[in-house]
Amino acid sequence: MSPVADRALVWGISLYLHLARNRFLSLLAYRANFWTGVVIYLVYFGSYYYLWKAVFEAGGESLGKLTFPQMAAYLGAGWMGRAFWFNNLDREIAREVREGSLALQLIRPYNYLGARVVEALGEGFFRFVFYALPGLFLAALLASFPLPASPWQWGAFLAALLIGFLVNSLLNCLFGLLSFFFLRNEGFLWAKRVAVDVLSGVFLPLDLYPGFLRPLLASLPFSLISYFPNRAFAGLLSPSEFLRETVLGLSWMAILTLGLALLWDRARRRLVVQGG
Amino acid sequence: MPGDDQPAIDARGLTKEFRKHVSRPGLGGALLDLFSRRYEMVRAVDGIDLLVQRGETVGYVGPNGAGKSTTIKMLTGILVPTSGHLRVNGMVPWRERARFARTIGVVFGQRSQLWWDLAVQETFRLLQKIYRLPESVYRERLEELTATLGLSDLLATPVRHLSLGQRMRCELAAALLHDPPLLFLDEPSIGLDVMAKAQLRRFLRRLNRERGTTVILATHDMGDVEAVCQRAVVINQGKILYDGSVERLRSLRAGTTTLEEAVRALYAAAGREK
Amino acid sequence: MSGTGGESFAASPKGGIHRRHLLYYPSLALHYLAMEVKCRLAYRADFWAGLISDLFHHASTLVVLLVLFSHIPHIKGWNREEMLFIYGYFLLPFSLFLTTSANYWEFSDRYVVKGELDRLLIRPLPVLFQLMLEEIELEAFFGFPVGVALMAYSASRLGLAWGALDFLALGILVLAGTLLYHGVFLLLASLAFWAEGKTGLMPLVWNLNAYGRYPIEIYRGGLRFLLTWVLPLAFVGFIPAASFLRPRDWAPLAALTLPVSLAFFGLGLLGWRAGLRRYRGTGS
Repeated sequence: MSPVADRALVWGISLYLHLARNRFLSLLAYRANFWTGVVIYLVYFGSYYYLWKAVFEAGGESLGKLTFPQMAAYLGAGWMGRAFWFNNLDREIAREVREGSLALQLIRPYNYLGARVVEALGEGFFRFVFYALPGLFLAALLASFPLPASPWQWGAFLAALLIGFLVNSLLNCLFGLLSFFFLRNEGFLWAKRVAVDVLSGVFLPLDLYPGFLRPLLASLPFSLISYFPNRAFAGLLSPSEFLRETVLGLSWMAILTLGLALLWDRARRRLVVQGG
Repeated sequence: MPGDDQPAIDARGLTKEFRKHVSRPGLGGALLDLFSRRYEMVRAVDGIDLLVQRGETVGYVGPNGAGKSTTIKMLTGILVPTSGHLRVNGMVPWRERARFARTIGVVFGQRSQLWWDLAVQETFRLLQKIYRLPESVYRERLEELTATLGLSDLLATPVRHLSLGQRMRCELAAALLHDPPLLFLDEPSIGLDVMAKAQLRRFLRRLNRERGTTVILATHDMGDVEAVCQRAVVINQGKILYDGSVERLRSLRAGTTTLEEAVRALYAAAGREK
Repeated sequence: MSGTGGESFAASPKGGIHRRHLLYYPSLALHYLAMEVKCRLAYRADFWAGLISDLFHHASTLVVLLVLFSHIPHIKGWNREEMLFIYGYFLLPFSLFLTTSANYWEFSDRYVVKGELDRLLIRPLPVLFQLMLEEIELEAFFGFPVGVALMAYSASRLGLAWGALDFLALGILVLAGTLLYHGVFLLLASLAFWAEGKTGLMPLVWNLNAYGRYPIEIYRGGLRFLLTWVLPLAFVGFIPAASFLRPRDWAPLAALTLPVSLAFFGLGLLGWRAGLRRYRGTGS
């Protein structure tokens, strides 16, 4: 690469890092939010832990190939992972569209969506370090479920989590942008959220769904958001299964990015026509 | 009901203090701020005296952060003063808020009080109900305001489709529907084009002349003050620098011939005294 | 003409001509409601979208329940029809609450941080009254008939027989549940006066509403106490519903629903008033 391109790359990276850092700092600034956040994820976990405990009491040793400790691990990863991959990009983008400040953002010399995703990464990283990790260890202690046994397993979990984050963020951007074409679509956003929660396996491992639904569910992008990292954490994935899921994840990311690029293009054209 | 001889606004030693937190710089500072914060006391309004008689037009002038908005918020009953004596329309604004609110009209330049998604007249209908205006009175007022502000084409238009100038006219009508004897305006001409500004100023002059409405105009646009007000009160850093006629203000300092220059000279002098 | 500023004002000293009559607040509330309906109709497509998403939300909860019960016969002794009944009951106060609570979510951002609260303070109406009425979510109300349908279905499957007294109790308990939710969220919204920004508590409590739908027997000790008395979400859904299914076990506790609701609503009001005092005393 030429020196000019090198420098551009370095500037680009440092800019995006700075954006992530800013988001991180701005989260620290909200004190009340920080302290409650620490409690929140443990409470989330607790509620579902007890529900599933009662379910297993009635259902026996294992449900859909999962034993209770594995289920607890799955739940732990589910909620703690959610701290990382969850973001409000869809709402935020929709709001910027509605308030018209999206047009303002376009005059900045960086990629709008890229910047938003990177900011979300900063936010996710913050929540993961301060809420999820401590929560995970605490939950494992209180609920006595096994943590990943080897560095490989930890690595697999973190890689899967990153893929889940990216898939979720891309979906959020997509839906946020759709609000460009529908004026007030909080309804759609809420529906999407529900779909994500149900279909991604946060509440319910996809194994438990009726047999005929499972292939469909497994191929949708939602399963990559939570079902994939949760199973990696609980040690339920064989290396070949992990590889297959990763490929699926990367494919969906490519498809979503393409869709996003097309949507963005149409939105920008519409923006110019409307006069901003 | 205030008698005719009672002043519209009677403020003495009016003060408002805020506790402002000072954030520490950098990442380490941000982490420290999580546990304990540093605060400093700010006097937004520092013992001001203000006596306004009914029927006056007062321009309340000051740069951003001078204490203008804070004063208006105290006068309209939104904020409770830290100390001092305050009577507006014979009442203590913050203490008898609901009753007091019936006697004032407020126009916030930066914030709309119209329902965004509906036609303008829907907001007016709601205001009629809120202020309990009898049907005949409401109709009469609406006709009058529609005529003087030129609203006939706008009444059926959704607020979000209005231009800023059109919206400002509707905001005025909304604030005056219940015919209050005292009208506050907080930066009403921001963002308006020259014609809209002229219209606004003409309207306010006429309002004061024909109905005797007391007008308090908080602004940093000296053109507004020049066109509408007989009296000017200049505030900076919480203190009143000048309180008198607009005429006299113009030539207050040696070498100043316009209001702008005079006011700037006042700020500079006050700054030097520090 | 000098001085008074107009006939209408001079004619109504201390609210003379139109003294406050009993119907002032209710008729005003209806007027706000009418305006809100007009707003919604102005965006018809979004109204239907919101409605469909709402139903979708309910459908997904049912799906989770049904999937669970395809693997197990009961949860802590409660079978599928009973759980459906509980969920159906829960939807009644919940949808009533959702319809009237939209502004709680916006409160911190719009009203406190952006200062729209000032607009409410210069009007001759109680601030809370305006806040509650300014934003009504009509679509959320459709959870109500869904809940009624679920209850009817499961009640018939379970062979429950209801008399007039049961319906009366239902009405009171549902209203109490709505009041309870309002009290809790009013308290949370009031925190915006102190917190300078989001506290993150509302999404938390929101997600916890799942607790109200499941039998509290699944929770142990401290958590169970928390969910019954500190954040009494159990009183919104599970406990009253259970009292219809197994009166002998649950009716005594369910009788406390109304006092608990009133207490929490009172608490919410206190928090609100303290917060409003703070806002006006120190500004922000």
